[in-house]
Amino acid sequence: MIELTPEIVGAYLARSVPGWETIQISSMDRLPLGASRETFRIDASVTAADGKKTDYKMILRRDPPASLVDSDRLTEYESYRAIYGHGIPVPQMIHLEMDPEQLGGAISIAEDMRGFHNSEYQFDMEPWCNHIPKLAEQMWSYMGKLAAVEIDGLGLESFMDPATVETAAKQQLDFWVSKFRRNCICPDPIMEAAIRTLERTCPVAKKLAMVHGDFRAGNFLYDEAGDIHAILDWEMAHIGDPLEDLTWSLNRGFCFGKDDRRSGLVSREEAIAIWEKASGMTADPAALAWYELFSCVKAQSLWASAANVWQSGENRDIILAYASWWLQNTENKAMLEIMGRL
Amino acid sequence: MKPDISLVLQDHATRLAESIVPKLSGFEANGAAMMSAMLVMIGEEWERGAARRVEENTAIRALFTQALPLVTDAALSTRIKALAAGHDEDLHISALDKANAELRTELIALQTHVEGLDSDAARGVNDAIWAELSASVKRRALSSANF
Repeated sequence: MIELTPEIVGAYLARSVPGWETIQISSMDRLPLGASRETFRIDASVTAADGKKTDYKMILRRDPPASLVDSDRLTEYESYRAIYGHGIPVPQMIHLEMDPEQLGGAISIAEDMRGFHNSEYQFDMEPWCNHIPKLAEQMWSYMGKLAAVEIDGLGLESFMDPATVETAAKQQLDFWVSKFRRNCICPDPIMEAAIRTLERTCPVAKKLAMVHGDFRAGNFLYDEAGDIHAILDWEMAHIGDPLEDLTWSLNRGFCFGKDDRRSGLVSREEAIAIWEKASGMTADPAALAWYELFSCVKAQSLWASAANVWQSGENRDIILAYASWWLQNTENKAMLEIMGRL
Repeated sequence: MKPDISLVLQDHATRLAESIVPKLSGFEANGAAMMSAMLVMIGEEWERGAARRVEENTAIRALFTQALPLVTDAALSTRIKALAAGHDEDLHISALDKANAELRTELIALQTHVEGLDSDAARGVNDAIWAELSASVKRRALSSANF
């Protein structure tokens, strides 16, 4: 896999982005974001065909040869474009390259929204500890708004698998169980018991929505006043039951305050109440319980995959080993809690 | 081995986090911080690694012995009977892990089997399996975990 340098990226952009004649990259740094993709921050001066110069602040994301997430650049890029302008703050997309030969992996380039924070570990510090209710209100309200967006007309069917209210839950369960089966390198009796439990009955969705797929603390940008400016990381987006996003955000693995506050912000009940108000929906307790257990299965599938790609040598990023060590037992414990067996 | 390995790992983790990480930035700082956190996890696992594996393997063998009279699947019965008679003679972590994987594979098969049996005795075995699974997450718990 080629190492990306300013020269390589600049030359690629000049020959690939329509209207960009010359590119001068003044800085390019890899960011410590996410476990699934390489992310670079780029400052560039672009000269157009008419000689006009424009300064760009960009985020370049590249698919690695192996990762814990299987989706491709197309899904994230088109998901951002589909939801842009529908009340959910997201950065604008600039360019997509699906040919892995160009830069050693498919890449997408987006507007870089600078000056904000994304860390999920600092909510209990000044000044954010003063804004926790505000952050929670916005996080679950945006999630609820996403659930309320009608998907007809978003064009999702051109790059996402179709689903129905009857099949959405089973499709996602089958997808993540299959991924787990392909990547599991040590037997996991709790995970298997959870899968059997979920397979006994799947809920019918009240409606279909664009599901973000990784909507949690750590995947939004916020400022010192506690205002959220963008929802990021749409690479696992799909058509499904909006309860999936809600329960993912409630997962115990994301209790970064190491207490009962979900996503390190507010209680499970408070989060659900905010989401219900914003979405206009009521979270059915039985369906909620199913999706909460499913969120653990999905997470465990991700961490098992992270362990496998690291162990096999396909991808030796530190975060893959770290996340799999740190989170697999947590998900097992969360599964037991949800199944009433802890 | 002196100084104690867990103590050395804890000390190195602290030095890495407090002295080296602040001198780095961005991707490198994040990587070093994760390595520091992993050293703490390794230190915890070093101390308990063999003990928790032996404890778990012994507990699963006992479950197999308890379940044997109930099992109606002949092949499963043969497998768990053989495993129940085993012992952890080789205490290398790799050997204990290999035994643990074999035991947990059959524990999955056993629980799936007893879930399909309709008797108080089967439910009792299933409850015992759940109790062992609950104990297993406590054995593996990391002090840095969110939950």
